[in-house]
Amino acid sequence: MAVRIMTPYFWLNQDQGFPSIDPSTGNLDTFSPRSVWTRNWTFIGERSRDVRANHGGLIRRHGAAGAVLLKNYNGTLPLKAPKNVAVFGNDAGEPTLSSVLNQVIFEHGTLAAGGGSGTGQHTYLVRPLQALQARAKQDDGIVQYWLNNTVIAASNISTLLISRGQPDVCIVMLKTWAREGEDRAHHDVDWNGNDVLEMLRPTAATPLLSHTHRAWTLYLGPTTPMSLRSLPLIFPARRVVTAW
Amino acid sequence: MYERGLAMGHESKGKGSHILLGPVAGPLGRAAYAGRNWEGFSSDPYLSGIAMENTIQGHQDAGVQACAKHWVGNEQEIQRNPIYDQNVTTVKLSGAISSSLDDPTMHELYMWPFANAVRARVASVMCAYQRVNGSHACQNSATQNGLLKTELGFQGYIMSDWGATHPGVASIEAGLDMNMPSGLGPYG
Repeated sequence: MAVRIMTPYFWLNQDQGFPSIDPSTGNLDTFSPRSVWTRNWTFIGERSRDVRANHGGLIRRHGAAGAVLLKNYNGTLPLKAPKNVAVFGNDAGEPTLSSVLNQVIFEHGTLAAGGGSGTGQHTYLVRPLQALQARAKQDDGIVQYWLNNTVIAASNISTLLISRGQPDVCIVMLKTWAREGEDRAHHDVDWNGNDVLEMLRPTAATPLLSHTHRAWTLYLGPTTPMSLRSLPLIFPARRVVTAW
Repeated sequence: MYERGLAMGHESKGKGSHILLGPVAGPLGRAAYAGRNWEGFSSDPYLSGIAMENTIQGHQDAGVQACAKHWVGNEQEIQRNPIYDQNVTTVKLSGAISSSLDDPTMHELYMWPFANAVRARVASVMCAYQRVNGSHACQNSATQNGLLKTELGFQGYIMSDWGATHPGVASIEAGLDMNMPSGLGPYG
């Protein structure tokens, strides 16, 4: 037992020059908060040290590499410098409540981490809408957006968009919550997500890209199946959405 | 995958952490309802195994111990732990769920990515909350001693999920090496 436990420690040279424990991590111990500590642990070294290095760039590249194209109807992808991009859904924009929401269910704003042991907190978060706007600008395009699912689902799309002609593409971004300690009750998209997709579907003589549960689905008309809603959930890291 | 594992390892080491509690091969993704599916890589055992191997390699090359979890069959969150009487916490109202796995299912699906993990020389494995074929994962000799340490030849240590250790000596004899976070209580 002792040999099994200590061998990796020495094998990885952890007994030599290993960084001290960041003092700020003591406050993050929600399982055993300071109030129940039986010893007066002393932390040394720099507090809240920045260990990010060049990882933002890595995340962006990995996010793009990790995206899987399941099906490309009518060769719609790649998009050809669309000048008029319409974005719908509550997962596209900025979390309106706060930048430090963690393991809290919130309706408005992009969701980048689930709840429980695997969660994470961001030092910054690039929103899908932000990335789409930056990208469209490169081609002198415009981005129109609607971010409230309830409003979208109850509307007629022709009343929502600036009538400059059909959008070149509609992009739908929806989200669903999952966390440790709970199982999902259904396979539907949260916050009326299903209704949003239903409302937008008939309009898609324009190509429709939908991003639900972190899965893109392409629709080209009322008869295109909406069968990919229940794929397993994955969450992007802080910059993966810019990989678009 | 390796780059990602390496970057995460560097961040962990920078923060002074000797062990990174990941990557995840279980839940594998038996049911889309499961609350922790998103922590793993894929419901395909082969792809999950490749991801485990590369990620563990990255973590450990950065000088941080990896922990392949959760061993094994943790495919549901509801009732993953026993339910105790809130007032008399030594009274168990209901047992934890038990994952029933036959031999081919275990080897071809749920155990498969852990084989990659062991081959990548993962430092530790974390036993799960729920029961496997009737016995709690952290005191299950068949899965810990039999499958992991004998059949796969795992040389590292098994640590429990937080509060997943229920007995004392019986766990040790069944192959558990480290009880986390320490103590024995009605966790759940």
